[in-house]
Amino acid sequence: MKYIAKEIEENVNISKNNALMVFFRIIITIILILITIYISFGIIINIGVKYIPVTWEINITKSFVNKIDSIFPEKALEIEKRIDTLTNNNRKYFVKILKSDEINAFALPGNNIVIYDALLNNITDEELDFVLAHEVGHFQNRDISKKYARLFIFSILSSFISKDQGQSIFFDILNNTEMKFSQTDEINADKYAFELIYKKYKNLDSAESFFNKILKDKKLSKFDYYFSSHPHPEKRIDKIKEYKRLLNN
Amino acid sequence: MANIIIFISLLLIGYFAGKYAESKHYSSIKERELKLLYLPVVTLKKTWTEEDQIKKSKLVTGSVVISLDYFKRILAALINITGGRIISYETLLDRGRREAILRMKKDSLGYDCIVNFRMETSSIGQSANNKKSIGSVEVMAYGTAVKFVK
Repeated sequence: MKYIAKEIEENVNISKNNALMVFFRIIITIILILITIYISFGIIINIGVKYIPVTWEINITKSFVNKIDSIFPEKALEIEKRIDTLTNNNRKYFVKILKSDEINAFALPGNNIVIYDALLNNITDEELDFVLAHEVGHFQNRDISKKYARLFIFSILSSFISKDQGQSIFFDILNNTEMKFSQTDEINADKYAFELIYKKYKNLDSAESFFNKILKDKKLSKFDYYFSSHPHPEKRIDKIKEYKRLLNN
Repeated sequence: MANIIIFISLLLIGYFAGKYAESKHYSSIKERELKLLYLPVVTLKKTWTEEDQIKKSKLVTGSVVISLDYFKRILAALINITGGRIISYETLLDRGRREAILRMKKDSLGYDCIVNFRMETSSIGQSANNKKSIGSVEVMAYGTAVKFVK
């Protein structure tokens, strides 16, 4: 048997596909699928949340919220009565006051509003009415229910992506997109609050003075607010002027 | 945001550095394959007749450990989701096999042929216990080098 040395001309073990083209093709496919899933779930949640009774939410969250101890229970009851006056006893809201240096208030599922004492010490009663009306606006628009439903669905989706495949990147992109949605919810909650405040005071001075206080206090640029859950205070003041123009017309 | 920037930076570094390392390795492989083309490697147990006399023989081995770059690792992970040929592993294993054979041939310089050639591959490093992905691969080629009486 004679051995004839032959140089390998073509490597049959390697595919001719360009790795970069394959990479982009797969990335684009996955992004399109994820966008479709994100939009579809968003639509389903927006429609479905309206059919979940508020009483269910209150009952589900009762055990969790009851564990939060309010530091000024009498003040909390007083604030609950303020909300009843503002909303004409439309629905029952529950207030908890917590100790914190942060000037903030936020809504939790089940018609619960948490207010930090630093906020109470730094705003007037009229400005507090605006803050409460704003949180009520979130409940009216079912923003809180939608937010938690989205969080639940997307945490399930992310469990299909491993850490190696970029779970943290998925969360980063999702978080930034959700922040933009959140800013729209904030504007809509502001609009609802304007209506309630105007009904009580016949002006929106409390809202304007509240946003001016934030503007003076935080001094953050518009860029910082781009990725924030809340719009820039200047933008919110613009919305007040817009609402005033509508009233005058 | 920082995570995205780090990820894209690693991808770019992995792609360009990996591409450079791979093309350099392939050039070296082709050059050495040409030089050692005269030395046959067969999987047969023997290639000689009764008349041939064996002067000497020895076990020869060649092994190499090769790793994927970051870009190829991510590409392999994505193909694992969508299915299809994992092209990033193809070049890894091809380079590994050819390099191992070349090292085995280098070990058998002065011999006439290598018979009973076998090759084995195993995952090593952090990915060794992870069945879903490979990162580093060790390829080992071994056989019996034989020199005949001329």
